[in-house]
Amino acid sequence: MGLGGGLIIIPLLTLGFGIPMQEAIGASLIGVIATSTGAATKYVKQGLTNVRMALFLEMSTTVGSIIGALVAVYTNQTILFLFFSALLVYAGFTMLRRTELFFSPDEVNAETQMVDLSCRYTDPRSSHEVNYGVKGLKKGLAYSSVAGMLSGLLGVGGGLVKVPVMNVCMCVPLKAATATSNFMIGVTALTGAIIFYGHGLLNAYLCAAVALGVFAGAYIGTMLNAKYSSNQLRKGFAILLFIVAASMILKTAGLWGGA
Amino acid sequence: MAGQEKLCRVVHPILKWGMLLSMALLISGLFLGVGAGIEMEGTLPLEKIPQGMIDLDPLAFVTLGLLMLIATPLTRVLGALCLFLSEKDWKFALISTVVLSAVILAVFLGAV
Repeated sequence: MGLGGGLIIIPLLTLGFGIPMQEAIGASLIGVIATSTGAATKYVKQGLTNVRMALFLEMSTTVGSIIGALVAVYTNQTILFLFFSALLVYAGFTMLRRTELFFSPDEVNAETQMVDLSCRYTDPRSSHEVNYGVKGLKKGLAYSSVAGMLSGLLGVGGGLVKVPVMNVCMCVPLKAATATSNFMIGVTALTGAIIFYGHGLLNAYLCAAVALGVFAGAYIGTMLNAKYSSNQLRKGFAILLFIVAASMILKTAGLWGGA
Repeated sequence: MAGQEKLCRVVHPILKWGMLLSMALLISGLFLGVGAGIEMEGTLPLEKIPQGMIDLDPLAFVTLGLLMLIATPLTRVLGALCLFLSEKDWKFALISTVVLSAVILAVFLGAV
């Protein structure tokens, strides 16, 4: 879906297996790269991914990710845990609230002075060809650096921030935004993962298990994305997020009680 | 200007083979690891991987698989850069270079 790999992996590892937060973040970053690579193979083949826009926005996500990862390496894990729970609650609300904006290319004054990112794709469900222009490039870059920081800090992809921004500020159709964000998170997460590797915070077998699990999952996910409407997917996922957030908050309360 | 279709044609095989290769390494590493009894530990540092591969050290296989996985998205940036250069699309060549430099910066910061 372009969202959610990290949102599920971290609670699973920390709550389910009692793994320290930093190691879980490292494994989750690996999981994010695997999600991106696994799903992107399919999206790129379908032509949904806007490769130019991805490269353009990656300029700021990678820098953000470096900052986030460096902060994460030196931060207390209870604080990271709390940050993460807050992110989950935010994520659940975003998913419920979000509606897709749609602009036909003539309505959009695409910004082409800096770079031209317009693109087109064929909708896999209706097989209509969709042409779109892209605007709000500076806003997109600014928000992408936030997405990158979240990615490095908490081991998520950052699609949660990027997809709505691409859709609302940059007028990119949701399917293309999801595919492009998914494509980007590979590069964003690898920047963070290198820093975790350098600090010896990657647990090899744990990462391997996560990566292999995710490859399988991502493949199934892209098939679902082509089959069901975005609305159905979003509702299902929001419910899942609230359940996870609730158990994270319970656990955090437990951490305080124990301290 | 390099078209969207052309970019996808360059990027798709990189992602596909990167994924398959790292999967193969991870799976063989896990199998060797199960045989040898898995100890949960960190990763091998870069310089120990070649010797580890010769010794059939499962950790070396898994670490190399992970590095391969990490390198896959990087390679597709490199692939796009080559395409932009060959098409003399300087603006996007510059953009790809900025992305690559950020990753290289991360390598140095990770080593500290």
